[in-house]
Amino acid sequence: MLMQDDIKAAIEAVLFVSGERVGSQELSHLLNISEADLKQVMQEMMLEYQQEKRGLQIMALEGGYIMGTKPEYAGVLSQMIKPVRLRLSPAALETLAIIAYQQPVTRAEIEQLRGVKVERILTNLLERGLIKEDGHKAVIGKPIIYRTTYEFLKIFGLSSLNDLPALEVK
Amino acid sequence: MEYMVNLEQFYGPMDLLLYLIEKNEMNIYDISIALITDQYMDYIRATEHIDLDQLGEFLVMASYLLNLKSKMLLPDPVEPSEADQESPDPREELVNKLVDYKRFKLAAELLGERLSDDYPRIFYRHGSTVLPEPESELSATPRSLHRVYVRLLQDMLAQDKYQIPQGDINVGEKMSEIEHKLKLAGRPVHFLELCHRDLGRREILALFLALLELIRLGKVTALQEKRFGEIRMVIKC
Repeated sequence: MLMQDDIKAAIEAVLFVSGERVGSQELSHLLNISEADLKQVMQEMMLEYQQEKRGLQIMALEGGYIMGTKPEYAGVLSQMIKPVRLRLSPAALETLAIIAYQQPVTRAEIEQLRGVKVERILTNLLERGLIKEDGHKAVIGKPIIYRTTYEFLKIFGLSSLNDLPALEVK
Repeated sequence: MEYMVNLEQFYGPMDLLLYLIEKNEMNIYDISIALITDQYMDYIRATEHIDLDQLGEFLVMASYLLNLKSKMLLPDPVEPSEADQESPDPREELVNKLVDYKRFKLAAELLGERLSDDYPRIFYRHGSTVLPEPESELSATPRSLHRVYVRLLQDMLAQDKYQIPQGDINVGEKMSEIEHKLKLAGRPVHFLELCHRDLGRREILALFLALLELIRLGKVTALQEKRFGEIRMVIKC
């Protein structure tokens, strides 16, 4: 059994090398600690990263954790890396927004809201890995259910769907 | 109309409708249907080049609006005695739709902000924040199709080699299997528990037929709380 500080250091190492999201289950297996303990440790770590002046942060991301940079340093980084930004047409964004906020949702339900056909847009979003098919709704015709993916969360800088900006309409 | 309008700048009929309401500075809960319908129709008439698919969607909304307009014009057929109770506003459905649509338009803007260049974004080491543009066109030649098809055929043949010959599946055996398992378990058992992962479709079907037979014989009761839900099976003593 590793000591608390060792555990934190090990988590840091794992997250750094992975560079991707590492699932809670996998982490707790790797470190041989319970998921409840892991959760506690992660809470502490995320706070420590936030409080200290560091360029990195650890974020919870849909059932796991990921290491990324702090938004404050986006300016510096974008001088170094010119990322090809994700470009979505307003129509695609609208469709994606409906899926994000209403999920699980079927194509008919999206079309009902937008008043237009969205088949082509859905294909596009699926190909870009922003949404996924997630089974069939138990109604007549068994339509496909759509949900957003974890790539979606990552790209939009959200740690979970609860993190979506609140919608307030006058 | 002197100016040219282009429906294509609107993402759909809802968008055009919302634009007209805002242009006229109308309260979304108190839309003047007659005015909006007229302006909406003007837009459609003034549009020349538009693909039929899209026009269809705008026309569906147009006919809905015209219907609504006529409803608003006609007197309410409600008896005077009942008139005290407020009859539902025929515009209500439209208002709800517009309010919903407005919410998601806002949501789209909020999400869009996060994609803008000045949004302080987070970088990841393997951050595939770069998603490939989907291929706009598929390219294939008869030759490449042929190649893919041949490979598929080969794969299928290769798979066959490893297939274990299937024995005959006997519904009777499955019936005793179910009875046996239910007795052993001594509790309600879910049908899916009996379907191991490596069971073929034929075997699952046989299991299901066996279950139906057992129900018919009154040996087993089965409960399914909702459509497509789990089937719970209990043995009758």
